[in-house]
Amino acid sequence: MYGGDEVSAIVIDLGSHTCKAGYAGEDAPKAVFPSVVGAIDQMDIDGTADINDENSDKTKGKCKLYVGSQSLGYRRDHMEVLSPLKNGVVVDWNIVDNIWDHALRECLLVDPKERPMLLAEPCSNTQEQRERAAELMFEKYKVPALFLAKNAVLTSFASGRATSLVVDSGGGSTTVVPVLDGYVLQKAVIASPIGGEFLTDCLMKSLEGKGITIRPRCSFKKKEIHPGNLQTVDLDFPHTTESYKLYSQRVIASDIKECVCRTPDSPYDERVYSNIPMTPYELPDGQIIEVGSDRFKIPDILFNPLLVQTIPGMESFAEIAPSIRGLPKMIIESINKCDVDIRRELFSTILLTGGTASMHQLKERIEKDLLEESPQAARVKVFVSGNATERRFSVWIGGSILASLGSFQQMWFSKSEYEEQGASYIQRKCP
Amino acid sequence: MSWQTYVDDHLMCDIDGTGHHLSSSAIIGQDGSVWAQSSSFPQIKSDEINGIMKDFDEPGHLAPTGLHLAGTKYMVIQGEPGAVIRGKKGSGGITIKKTGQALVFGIYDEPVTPGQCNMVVERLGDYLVDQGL
Repeated sequence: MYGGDEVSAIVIDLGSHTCKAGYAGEDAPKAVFPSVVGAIDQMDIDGTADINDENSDKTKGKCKLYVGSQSLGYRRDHMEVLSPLKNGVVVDWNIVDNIWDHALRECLLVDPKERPMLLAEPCSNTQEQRERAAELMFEKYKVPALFLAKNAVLTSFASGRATSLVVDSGGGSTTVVPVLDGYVLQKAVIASPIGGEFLTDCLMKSLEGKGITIRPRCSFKKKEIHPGNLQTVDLDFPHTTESYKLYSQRVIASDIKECVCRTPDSPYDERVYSNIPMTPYELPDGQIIEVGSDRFKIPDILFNPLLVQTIPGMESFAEIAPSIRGLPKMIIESINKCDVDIRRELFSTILLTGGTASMHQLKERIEKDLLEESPQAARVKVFVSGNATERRFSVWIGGSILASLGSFQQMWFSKSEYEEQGASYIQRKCP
Repeated sequence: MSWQTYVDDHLMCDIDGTGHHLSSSAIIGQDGSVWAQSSSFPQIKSDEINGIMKDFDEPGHLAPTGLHLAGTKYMVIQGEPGAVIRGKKGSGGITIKKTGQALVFGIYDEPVTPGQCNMVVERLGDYLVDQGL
């Protein structure tokens, strides 16, 4: 048994959009940086190398990786932007390794051999994924102890509740997860690919459809023509990759979304919203754009995915949109898959979390829709932290609390257990 | 080595030198026959065994109704399809591992953790599987 009382554990939450890392016991992660990395192919600069997608470490030995906001914020010729995840599942462990390395050695400045490690994981994580994470942590980082905890359980923990229905609308997806006495009811988990990034892409396409061009910051600079008079000058970097341009545009579109979007009170109707006042937003290049009905239409996609079909450029998603359910329906479907005895409690303890949970009026709309669609006897209550940090980092905060508890210390999967029993033991130690 | 010895010495043992142990445990045949059980193990019903066996065959079968054991209801949490069923009730819970011919049951309560119960039950279960039992 590992005695973890001497030093603070490290808590890492590698989400689909950002990676959060910090010390257990603290109230916010020390490091927050993108979960995507820059990659420059070292063997064939023209990028014609044949990448075998079946190789789970396709970037190993072939690419130089750039991790963190600072590295990604600096444009480089031929630098692609890659994600280690696909549909929420790790497909490139080499990238994950580099992200962990960046978090531990460059952000937190710790030696992982000296500290137990708590990793947050998605509810859909497979046994194989868990074992791979354990192997990497014990073999490469030589951690003294490890624990894997599910995102929803940690969010529930952060709110001080052992039982709840966690609605996590993050960057890459939205999931609805019932948590009972600190454990996920796996059969009732409902997931949707519509998350913050999807909404950002919809907004970007919609603006482009109206003739608005979002210029990546690296494609221009401002020159002072006369004192106090700045002029935007185009810069030409022909070797900038498409994925890097898209990444840069998404950062800006995401900010537009956060500044101007608001969840409508009721289902979005084109006729009702076509005449609403526009809201101005200044792009980094100085261009001022006016955002109108998109302010309400984009957030409503969470409730009515069919709206995607009306956005030019989103054709690839239009075909699957009919099969995706809106948020209230996901919630009701999840609860209906649970035991009848706990449904009432779940309806009355719905925790809204994730970056997209910060959308204005989202909680109110969910509550309203649920009151209309839920059983008569259900007392619907949606909780969302009033603190933006807690909303965004609830998974990490839950991990920080959990790893600090005295009663948790006996639960660590120790290095000696790993060496004696192997990686598959993770399934028993961290059920 | 009798079946009762497996229960007394391996399932109801002191866990990791903590002084704690499972609340009760048993080894029950997949046909419902009791091979061995601790003194406080509840009286299981045949339809409850059938429900458990069906959940091993069709993972998710018990989730909407809960896992019942002598009238006690456990909420089904994540197990391992076809191999392990785990249930939760308050701060305690249950782990059931399927072997070739039997089911190994472990019931725990605070301060025993779910992970500890898993270790004890599944370790014995693995051994029985290796022995073809």
